[in-house]
Amino acid sequence: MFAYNLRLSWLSLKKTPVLSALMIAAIGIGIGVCMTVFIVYALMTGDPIPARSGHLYTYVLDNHLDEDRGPNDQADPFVGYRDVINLMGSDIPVDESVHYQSSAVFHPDNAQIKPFREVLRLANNGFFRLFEVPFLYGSAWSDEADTKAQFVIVLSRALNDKLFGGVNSVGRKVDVDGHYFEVTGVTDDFSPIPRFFETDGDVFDETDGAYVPFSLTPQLKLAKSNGSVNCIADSKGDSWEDFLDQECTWIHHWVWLKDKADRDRYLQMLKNYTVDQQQYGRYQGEYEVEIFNVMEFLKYRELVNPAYVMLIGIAFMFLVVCLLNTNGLLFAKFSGRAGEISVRRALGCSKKRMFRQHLVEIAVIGVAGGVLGLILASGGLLALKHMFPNYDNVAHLNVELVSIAILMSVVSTMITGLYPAWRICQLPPARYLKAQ
Amino acid sequence: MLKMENISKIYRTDLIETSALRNFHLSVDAGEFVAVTGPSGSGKTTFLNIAGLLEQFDEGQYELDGINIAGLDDDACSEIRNAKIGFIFQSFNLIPDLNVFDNVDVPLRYRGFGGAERKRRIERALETVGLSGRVKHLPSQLSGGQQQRVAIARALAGEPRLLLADEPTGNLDSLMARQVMELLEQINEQGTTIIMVTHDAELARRARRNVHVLDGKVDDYSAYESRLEADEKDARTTINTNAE
Amino acid sequence: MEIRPILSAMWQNKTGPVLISLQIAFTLAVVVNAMFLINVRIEKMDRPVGIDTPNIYNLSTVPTVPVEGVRDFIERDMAAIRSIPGVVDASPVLTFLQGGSTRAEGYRPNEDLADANYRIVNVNFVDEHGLDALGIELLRGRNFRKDEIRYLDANERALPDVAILTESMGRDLFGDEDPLGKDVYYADEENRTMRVIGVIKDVAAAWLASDSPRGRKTVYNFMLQPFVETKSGRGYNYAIRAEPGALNAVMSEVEKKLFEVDPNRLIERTYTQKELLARSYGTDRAVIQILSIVAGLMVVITALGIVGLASFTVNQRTRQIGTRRALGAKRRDILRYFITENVLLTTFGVVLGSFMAYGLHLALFNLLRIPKLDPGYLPVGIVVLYLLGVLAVFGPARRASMIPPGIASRTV
Ligand SMILES: Nc1ncnc2c1ncn2[C@@H]1O[C@H](COP(=O)(O)OP(=O)(O)O)[C@@H](O)[C@H]1O
Ligand SMILES: [Mg+2]
Repeated sequence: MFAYNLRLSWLSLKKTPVLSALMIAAIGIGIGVCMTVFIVYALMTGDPIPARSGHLYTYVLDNHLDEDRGPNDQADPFVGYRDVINLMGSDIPVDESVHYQSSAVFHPDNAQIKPFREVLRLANNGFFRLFEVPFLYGSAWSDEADTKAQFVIVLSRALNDKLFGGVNSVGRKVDVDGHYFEVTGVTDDFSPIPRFFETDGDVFDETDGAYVPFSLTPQLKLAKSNGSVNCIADSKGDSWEDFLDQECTWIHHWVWLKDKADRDRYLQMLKNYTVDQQQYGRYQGEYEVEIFNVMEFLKYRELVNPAYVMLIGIAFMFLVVCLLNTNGLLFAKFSGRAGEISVRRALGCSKKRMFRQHLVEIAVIGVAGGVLGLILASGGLLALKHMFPNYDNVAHLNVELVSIAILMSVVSTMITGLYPAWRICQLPPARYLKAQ
Repeated sequence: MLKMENISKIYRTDLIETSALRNFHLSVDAGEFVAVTGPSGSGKTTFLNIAGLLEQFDEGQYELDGINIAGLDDDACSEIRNAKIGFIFQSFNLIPDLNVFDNVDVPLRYRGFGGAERKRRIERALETVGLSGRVKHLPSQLSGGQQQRVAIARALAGEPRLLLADEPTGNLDSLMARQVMELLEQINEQGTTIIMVTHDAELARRARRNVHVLDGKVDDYSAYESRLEADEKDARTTINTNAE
Repeated sequence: MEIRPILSAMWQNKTGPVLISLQIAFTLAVVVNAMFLINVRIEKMDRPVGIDTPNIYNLSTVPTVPVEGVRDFIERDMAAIRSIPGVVDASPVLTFLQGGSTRAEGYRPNEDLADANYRIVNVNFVDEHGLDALGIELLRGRNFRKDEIRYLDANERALPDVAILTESMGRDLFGDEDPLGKDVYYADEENRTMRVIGVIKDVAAAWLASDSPRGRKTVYNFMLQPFVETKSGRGYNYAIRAEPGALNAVMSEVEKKLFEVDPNRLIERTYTQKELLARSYGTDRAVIQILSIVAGLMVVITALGIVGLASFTVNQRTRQIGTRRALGAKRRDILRYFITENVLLTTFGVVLGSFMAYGLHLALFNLLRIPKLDPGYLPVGIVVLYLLGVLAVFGPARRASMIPPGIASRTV
């Protein structure tokens, strides 16, 4: 029966090729545009680390450093060096990460390759555990390397390819800014989107480069290179040590908290800490202490430009127009068939069967539209990648999205098609046999 | 009124040429009621279409109401159709989305009459066909006979000199067919020239003159003429008794 | 005009017309708002930026073997670059202008510490060639002198004695008074000051693409200080201005020359000023492009819908059209019939669509904090949709007008 319905649908589509093509094109374009915008939006607002996002927290100790905080109108969620040193090692979190992004010049042993600059993150080894960084070779450095500030390094896959031709380089040495670092591991591709753990700089950019222990910060004197540093000007000296001692916020600190109770405890601990610091003349006047998990934090940082929310709305209106279009064409098509339907009904085809036949036909249009929509969406994403290289990571299709697109297409087409199909099946069998 | 000489019409499709009319001669005087008969495919509709300027002809001379038709452009033909000719079709050809009043209104609008004039004419035409009470009805709400009477009213409203009817009773049962025929006779009485194609021998007999078409030509119609005269009186009496 | 019968005929087959009208309404709402949003962004991108964007490019260089005197290193580079034919001038800068990193500082016009109302300003460093190297127009006062330029040591957070600022910055600080010769106070407890020695034509700050009210308000708050940064963090940044048309040639020549001066160096982050500006406006461009595509496709879809439905009705009404022709309609009467029908549909659509456009605008206004809709877009959108409708229906209508009157008497 279903096969028979399918065959009838195919014949019917073929009978009005222009109308069928228009309908499929309308749905396809509607779904294509909607999917493209939706994929970009979903990836930009999506949970970058679903398994853990409810447990990872960062905080803002807003001591109004950044009265001149610039055009963003919100306190930057960074911590000063002094506070990080004081706050690290609390027993409340399961684990924690401190890190910031800098860059340094790599001097390959291979004289063929000129020295080049790469992103270098100063981080503790908790960074790799907290953010589930996958390793291709080796592992993160030991706790000892962190505490003793040893010259060890973790390379990204891309950098390992460049420096060592992609072989397992664990144990080899790399010259960075004149210091020799020993490789302990090579990470596999790691690109959560958005890069929530350092939401300054270009958060939709790729994350590559290398990692060295955060405890080397005083020694390496590597300034933060991508993102903001907020300072209150004072008359202390101008050396790196003075800078670390200054009231500046610039370091990212994330903690992994087991549950709500631990979150509250940690928040209380932070508040106690700031009160305690008042004896040194810090945290005077009004200030805020806030704690955020990943999703709360993304919202706080307003990572998604409201323009994209607007685009979503407009994309959906676009889909509505496409569906209205299809709806109108379906009406036209079905009413052009009134005579045939009357004859079939008169010949004993039940209303229900008639209706089913039409639904199958609509579904066929829906599937065809969905497939076309997918093709257009992949074209759209390709165009996006082309126009905005930053979207490279953001834009790709997967099985889930493909099924969503097809489903969306079929469901929306069915919904729009239901009324025309129902209407046409309400025709009395005799009406169109009369007087023609 | 109408004079055709040597008219030829050939339909060309990719594969075949059909000669629908060949050397067709016919002349009809004002006030005549001519019935055209002939087997299916003989060229009756083709003749009527050419007579009504719905189609062009390939050869010959055609003069309608003193106007030489050959060489008239499309707009001029439209104007003549609109002002001088009324059409009645086998399948009525009412516009299904318009009610009775608006259907009769259609040719009058193209004529460019003012609203009051149109209304007057529509009402009179509908009165003539006996459908004054149905102005708001849609065609689908009328019987076949009523639909055809609306079509006649539409043809009459423009007060044409020539009424062309192509099997006007072909889709009607015999009672309704008779009513329509009586209506046509009544209209002819009032001076309108009528040319009617019909299959129905009985109806044909009631016309004043019969033309038999065979193979795209007028076939020996003198034989019919005598029969026609004999039936003439009959026809008149029927009108008087059956007029609505 | 035969409007009433057309309307009553439409009333008999409402669904198709209703759907087309709805489609037109949605399209109008989106197109009007899209035009408006696009224009807001185009206007934003068209604002003057105050520098000679097309002829400037930037690079960053860093020695790969530590050098003794950074000052010498930079001065040698500068001398080399400036001697290249086609180069107008060059200057070290703190950050590339209008592209990426920013130094924002707070200043106030007086020593009143209680006045928490700092003015945000984008600070950049140049030497005495800076104005020339960036193509900035000096309106009043003077440029920096060579002896005023200081080479800062690593991480030094010093303040200069003199500064040059934009007209808008001056107005933000001092209102209608001329800022020239006045002292500007740095936002710290010590009330350190610097004297304004020059006023320049407005130069856009690094946050020029910001949509926040504060960002928009402070877009021309820009200040130059007579410093050269010598901290090697990510290298030394140079801005280089070429003579019109010479930029490409200059870019490769500069690179060659710099390697001649010192081969042990990296040259990286070479960006033309145009690229930087384009990058700053990346989101705006994305939004413009996506909006244009979506609005354009919407118009196309609606047009196709009109064509599809009109073709269909023409096919359906073949007999009826033949009948009308038989009854005396001229070809142009048939053409006019379909166009009138379409104009009526469009009229329903645009009436509904105008309300929807306004509703959508209110929603966007709340979401994006954009300025109020210029009512001029609505008539433009309406005219576009009328034209679109007539164009779309013209093909099918012409086909309809070509239906021969003979059809009427031929049984189907
Ligand atoms: N449009 C056309 N194209 C080709 N042949 C046609 C066309 N219309 C009529 N004919 C042919 O012309 C001949 C005369 O047709 P017609 O005038 O309709 O006959 P009648 O009305 O007497 O039945 C027939 O053979 C018919 O097949
Ligand atoms: Mg015939």
